[in-house]
Amino acid sequence: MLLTRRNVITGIGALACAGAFAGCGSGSDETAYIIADGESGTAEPEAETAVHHGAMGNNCGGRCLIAAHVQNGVIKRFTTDERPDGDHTTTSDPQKRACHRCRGKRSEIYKSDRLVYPLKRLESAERGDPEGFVRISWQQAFDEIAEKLKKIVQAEYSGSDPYFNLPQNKGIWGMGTCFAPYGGGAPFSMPAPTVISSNLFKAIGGNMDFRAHALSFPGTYHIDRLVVDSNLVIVPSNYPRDLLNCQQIVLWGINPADAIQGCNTTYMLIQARNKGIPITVVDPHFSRTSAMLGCKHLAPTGGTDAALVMAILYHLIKKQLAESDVNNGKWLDFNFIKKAVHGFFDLPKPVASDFYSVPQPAGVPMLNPQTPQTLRAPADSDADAQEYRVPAGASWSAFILGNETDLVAAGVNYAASIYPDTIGYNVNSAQDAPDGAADPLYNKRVPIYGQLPKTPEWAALITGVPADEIKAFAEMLGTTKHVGMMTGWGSNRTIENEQAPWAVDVLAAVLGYFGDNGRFWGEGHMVLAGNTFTPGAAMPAMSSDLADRAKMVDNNIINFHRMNRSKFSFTNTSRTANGFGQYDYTNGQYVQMSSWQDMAANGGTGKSFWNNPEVKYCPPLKCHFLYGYNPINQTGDNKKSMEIVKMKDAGGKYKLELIVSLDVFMSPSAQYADYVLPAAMPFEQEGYTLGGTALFHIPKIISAPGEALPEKDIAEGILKSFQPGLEKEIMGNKNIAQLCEDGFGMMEAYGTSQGLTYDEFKKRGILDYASVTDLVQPLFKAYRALLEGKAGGAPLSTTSGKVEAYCQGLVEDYEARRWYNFDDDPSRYGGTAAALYNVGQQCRDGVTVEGIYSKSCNYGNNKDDNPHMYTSVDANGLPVFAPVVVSPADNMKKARFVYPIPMYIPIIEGLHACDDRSDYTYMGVDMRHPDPLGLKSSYPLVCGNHHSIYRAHSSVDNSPYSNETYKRDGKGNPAFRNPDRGVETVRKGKGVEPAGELGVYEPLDLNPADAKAMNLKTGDLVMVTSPRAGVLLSVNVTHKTRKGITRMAEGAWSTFKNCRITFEDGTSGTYCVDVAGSANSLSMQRPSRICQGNGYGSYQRIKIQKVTSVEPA
Amino acid sequence: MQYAFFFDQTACTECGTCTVACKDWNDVKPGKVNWRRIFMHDKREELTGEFPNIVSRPLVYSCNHCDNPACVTACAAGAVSKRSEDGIVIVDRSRCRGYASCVSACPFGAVQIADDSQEYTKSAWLTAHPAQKCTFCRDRLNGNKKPTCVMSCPQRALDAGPLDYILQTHPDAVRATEAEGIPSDSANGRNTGPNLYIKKR
Repeated sequence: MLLTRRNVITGIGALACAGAFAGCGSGSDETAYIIADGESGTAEPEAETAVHHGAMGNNCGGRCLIAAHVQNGVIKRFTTDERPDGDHTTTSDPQKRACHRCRGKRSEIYKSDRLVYPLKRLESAERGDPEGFVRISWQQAFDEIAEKLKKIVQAEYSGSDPYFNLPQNKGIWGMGTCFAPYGGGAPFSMPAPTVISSNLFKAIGGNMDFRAHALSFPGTYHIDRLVVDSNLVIVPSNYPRDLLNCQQIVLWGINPADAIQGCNTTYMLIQARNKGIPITVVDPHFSRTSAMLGCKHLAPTGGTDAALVMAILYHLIKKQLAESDVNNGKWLDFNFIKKAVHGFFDLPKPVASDFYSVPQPAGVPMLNPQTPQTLRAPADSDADAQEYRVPAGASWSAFILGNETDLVAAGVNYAASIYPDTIGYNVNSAQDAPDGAADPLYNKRVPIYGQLPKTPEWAALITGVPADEIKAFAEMLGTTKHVGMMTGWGSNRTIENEQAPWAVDVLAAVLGYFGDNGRFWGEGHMVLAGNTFTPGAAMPAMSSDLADRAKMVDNNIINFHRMNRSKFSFTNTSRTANGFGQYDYTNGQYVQMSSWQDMAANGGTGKSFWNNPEVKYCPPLKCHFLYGYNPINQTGDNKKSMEIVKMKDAGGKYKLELIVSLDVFMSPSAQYADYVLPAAMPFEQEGYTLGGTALFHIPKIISAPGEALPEKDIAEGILKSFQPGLEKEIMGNKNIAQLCEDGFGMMEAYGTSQGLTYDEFKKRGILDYASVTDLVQPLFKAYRALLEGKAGGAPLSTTSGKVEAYCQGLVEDYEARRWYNFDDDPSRYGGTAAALYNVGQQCRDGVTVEGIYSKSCNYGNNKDDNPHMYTSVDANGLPVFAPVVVSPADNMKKARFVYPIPMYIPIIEGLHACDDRSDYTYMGVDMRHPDPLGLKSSYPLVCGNHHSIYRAHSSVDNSPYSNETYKRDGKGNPAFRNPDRGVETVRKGKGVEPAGELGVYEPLDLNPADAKAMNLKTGDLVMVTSPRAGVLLSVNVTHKTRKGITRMAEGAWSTFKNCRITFEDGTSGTYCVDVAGSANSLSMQRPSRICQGNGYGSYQRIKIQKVTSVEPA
Repeated sequence: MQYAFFFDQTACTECGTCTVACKDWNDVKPGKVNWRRIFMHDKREELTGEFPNIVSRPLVYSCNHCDNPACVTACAAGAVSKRSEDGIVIVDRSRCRGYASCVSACPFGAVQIADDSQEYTKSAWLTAHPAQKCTFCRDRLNGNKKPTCVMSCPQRALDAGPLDYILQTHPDAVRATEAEGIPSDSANGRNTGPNLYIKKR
């Protein structure tokens, strides 16, 4: 596509000179062009500008079209989708307009501190020292990295797990010590990620697998797979266009105006609102989405969503029980619930017909057709069914009603709640802890209100949503048939990140919001997940030698899983064409990505910071390969992470032996790397990227700066040094374009390429899936058909075949990962009934109880599939099981930490709405937040984090165009990072510290009441301190955040500096503070309760001090 | 004929895409000069209500290409003119002498003076002729394209075109002078008559 010559106006508009951004020639002649025409100021030059469509591939939640205007090899401008706008109400699709993040990309691509040379940290320099880097050649980088990798993967490790100390198993840990998670920070276009982590590490022996999506939505991911469908990444909604068919829309913890959630999702919400469809937003933050829609907003205090859900259900249950015919379904359809949801009501004596037979029949779309999960259901026999029962008083409705017996009287349940009043934490005692100090949460308990009825009045005290509003909302939900409930990941961003997503999933299922036009719940932008298959990169054909090697790796990986995780925790280790785990959601259930600090410090020692068996018995982390990945910044507690990567062993060597960063900028994590390798960005290499409802081709149209290389070339270089010739075998002697074509070929094979060849796709630039006529998510369409007895019905892939309000499998999975979870005296903490059947007994002294879930996962009943702890191995290397001996004196361990139903568990550093009220009791119970660590007096406020339109996680944080729209100087004026930084450093082959600088601060939203109490106004500079560290922020006073809760966006690049700070009260001192204001400088590293996903992006206790002056110390 | 902008206060998420797109298209470097600006409503009294019952009234505008542009009469150098064919107000930078009288004359702060750091080159010509503002993307209009800000908005909260088209396409819009929060268009006893139409919240 060519633009005709433009007659351009006087002045700066003519000076289309992107190259000037770079401060270094890219081989273009833009300088001459400016002088020739700019000086006269009359017209643009006689030149034609080529316009190329593509996409940037930020990990932003969207994927939209951007068009690069290129002249003489330089991108002069970016525009977006200016093709004719489709009609949103028909099968055509609206323009895929890019937002803020992509529109400022020119200021990133040509930024003066783009990495342009391979850098190496000198042996004499401490990790993290920006002065410690020197420029090296690519060859030196390849040779040294390959050498170090070889040493790491071939080393013999010993550890706490006896299995690995057997002679025949020595060396198995090698490849398990390398960790190469996906990253969204660098180019993030396919096939690049798979090139690095799958091809490179496959060749050298594999790498440690990780659970997918552990950073963004670990709780949602864990829950959705266990309680909704084991093939899911997350629950996919209907196509976004189906919003127009709803009678009511609910946005629960979702903020697409910031987090995009699929191109045009916000736009479709506007269309629905303009059509007159009422919308209710449920979100602790008054989000950008809510502000724009101008609709009803319910704001449960951060982390209390589950309490709100239970109060909604309590109200509906009571309304229904008040009907003369309790089964008339006016408010809640009890009969429907029994068919659709397992464990909402008690089921103490199930028979096979109470469950559905899984696996799903062929023809039902799977997330990944290559590796469908199949579960053996208890529907096989009545005896099996007995093993998946819901004991009397153990169902979710029993828990919701607490000690009330209405459901028992109505003959629906069999007992009132058996659940206790409090719950503890499965954390280290002093004896367990690596440093001999008990976890501060050891022996602490917080309320779960097991015996209290979860009334709207109860929830109002916790959430701050008035009881009348809860009732009105509940009645609307109960009586409206066509409700589209878009659920986001906001509710999963707490330290108790499993409970709220679970509660919301079951709420939607109970109310029947699925499988029909205008009735759905879930994530709109994942709608494709159920329908299409878009591979990362094709794996080239392997020689037999390499195939053997790969097989060996597979076997080793499988051994890992056998020994370190139960086979029945839903891990699938089969290799797919995608490689290990990458973009293959049915793989990758090994460790949590956010456990990396614990693995680096404690892996394999039998100890863990967090009492986490997955770390205790897993290999130590020896190599962290950061492909555009910024873990120091994007997992909890940046300062602690920086200390951990500097930890040394007794011999004075770094425990985490090798950190390699491929990136485009010196991120906070790259700063701590040993090798920093400059990578090419999209448009500097060919690729394609999937998002929302389309696949975008990205052409190569400009050169990468300096010596920056595509990841594929970097992987090849390392492989060649590792073993000459390996690179050709692994990469199949193919170039990037050929790999892309191969990858697209797989789509053709799976029938998702819409009949296009790769060349046709390239020419078109976009492959759009939006033009479907059936907008209903097939997974749920089939489930609804099953419930209604219609053709094409299929159950969900869970143990019961239903959505599971009571999920025994979740508890078994937890225990299978070697967590202790049983109570010898269930009444100790206020429970009233005997132990929950088959839950919490997996590790009990000498008791052999195998869960039905384990059987249902097709792993059979072999002894070695048994989750029991073993203490030795026999001559064949198989484990010998022995009863786990738990010290009777250790009451902390004689408890359950995970229950089979969703609960409201107060988050560790949260607050309740009633905290500052005088009437904080409910039925005699103090409803104030338990504050188990006693932080409230020192840290009186809570800080919540959210995603921001201005960044894609930590990407785009250094774009000057982006910066000035939200970052502020010390007085509240727009500010941006020095655009000339890096000219004297990285551009000359030296290191540079991350972009944070004094005078450019992140904003902190503060409620006017809090601001008044602290004498703060917009623009004031403050130091915000959590129990972890301090950050400098610029105050933004706004009604958009609740009193007591401040908020800030995640993703700024933590840059700790020693500063001399004077506070308003006249005191001063020297502080090492994060001047850039990374949310994770404040957040904790503690993993969540069940899935061990990081609680980052969570809520933490903070204090605020007004700063009057700050200068470098 | 007169060209005009349209702004939908109920669709704007204050994301800033239009401001970035404007700077990128027109090569305005990061800095205080910003041809199209968002007036963050958090700071404005029009934000009414307390958490979480808040009514949000965002405001985004550039040069409004007024009927009686104060900048034109204010410029002693004759550098600012209003085109007869489409009513677009243009700064001819080659004639600007940096008096900045246009800056103080405009009620909307549309005309701005860049400092040297914001110019793409530090050439004497540019720094000697600093006044600049929205050109209605005149270069794009020549190619039958709407201004880049309009085409950038992910929520389609902006539109632009001949006044007749704007009034016809957006019948529920009012002239900016009838909307809250925007400065009065009064300048030296005259009303400038901004060509900005707003769909109010």
